[in-house]
Amino acid sequence: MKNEMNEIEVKAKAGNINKIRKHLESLGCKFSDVMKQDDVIFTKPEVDFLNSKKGDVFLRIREQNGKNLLTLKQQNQNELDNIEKELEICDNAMMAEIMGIIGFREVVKVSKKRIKTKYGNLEICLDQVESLGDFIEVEKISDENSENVQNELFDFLKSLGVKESDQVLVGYDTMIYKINQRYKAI
Amino acid sequence: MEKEFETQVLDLDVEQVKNELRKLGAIEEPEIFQRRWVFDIDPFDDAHTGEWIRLRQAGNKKPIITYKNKLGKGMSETSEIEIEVDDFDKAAQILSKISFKGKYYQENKRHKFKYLNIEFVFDTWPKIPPIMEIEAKSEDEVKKGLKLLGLENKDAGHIGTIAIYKHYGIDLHSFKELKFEE
Repeated sequence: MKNEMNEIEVKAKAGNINKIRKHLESLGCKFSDVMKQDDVIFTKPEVDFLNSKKGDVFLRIREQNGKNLLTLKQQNQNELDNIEKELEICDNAMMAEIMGIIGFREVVKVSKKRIKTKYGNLEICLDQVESLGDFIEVEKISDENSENVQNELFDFLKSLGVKESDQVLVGYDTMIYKINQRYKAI
Repeated sequence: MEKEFETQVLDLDVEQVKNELRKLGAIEEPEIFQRRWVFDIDPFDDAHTGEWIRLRQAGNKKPIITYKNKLGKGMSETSEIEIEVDDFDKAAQILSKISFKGKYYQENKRHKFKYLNIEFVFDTWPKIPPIMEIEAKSEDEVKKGLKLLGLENKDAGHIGTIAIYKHYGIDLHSFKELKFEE
């Protein structure tokens, strides 16, 4: 049986985002216009957000340049390896109300500015994330072994000058969630 | 959350009622094919209460996700939230990944008439005779709709599809997929 196609990504802090952009442009990459993305992430109360496991389901409502999107992510091997399904919706507030009714709770909000480009079969995003800083993310849709794909993707990042120590193994939502938890504890 | 006022009439001569509406000068819409997924939050029960999510596509219109909360079989006892989406199959895939108490695919045909502010909807479902639903913005208008057709006190209330199938001796949820026979 053929494996399901998954969104597999790697992410790293971008020390100098302009230098990385120029490097990618020198490889022939053309960047999109800036997208402002405001996300609200929801999950079921029984899901341990900081220790999510295979099968856990997350829903995201995104407002992006006037467009509303609902995305479902179901975790595979790790936080950056998910089954992903996306849908355009007409009303974020109504969707959030339905999510509450079906037992999902809001866990965190993430706001960022993103520019995108493609290099071969890779999708590359340069992100400026509120409260976190600048990042680069590379994504591949694949049915191959996710660990092998993540290694291949990070080798590509290294070729752009990204250091191994800058790799980030969790999503922006988890990073912001941790900051919020620390802030609450003060 | 909006409230809708509606009632259903079973065991009627559908063609005769449609002709009555035509004589009245009601606006007739073409019959459309509808497909839907129903996801149970709190399954519909004998007290005519239940909570569910419905994903429905009517003809070529955009699919709609609707949350329904039914508190009884009275005309005004249904609350709902509706959201238009861009893709029926993607929406079904997303909802299928969320755990619900039940999941069912159903098809029907809908033939709608409008007269004044009242909608007269004739639904044809697989395996049972056609039914009529009267829907309006108020209970008074729904009653007026019944009176116009001489059907006062012949309505069953808003009993829902499960109870309608039960009326004809069929357990709707024994069909995970309910389609018209080829």
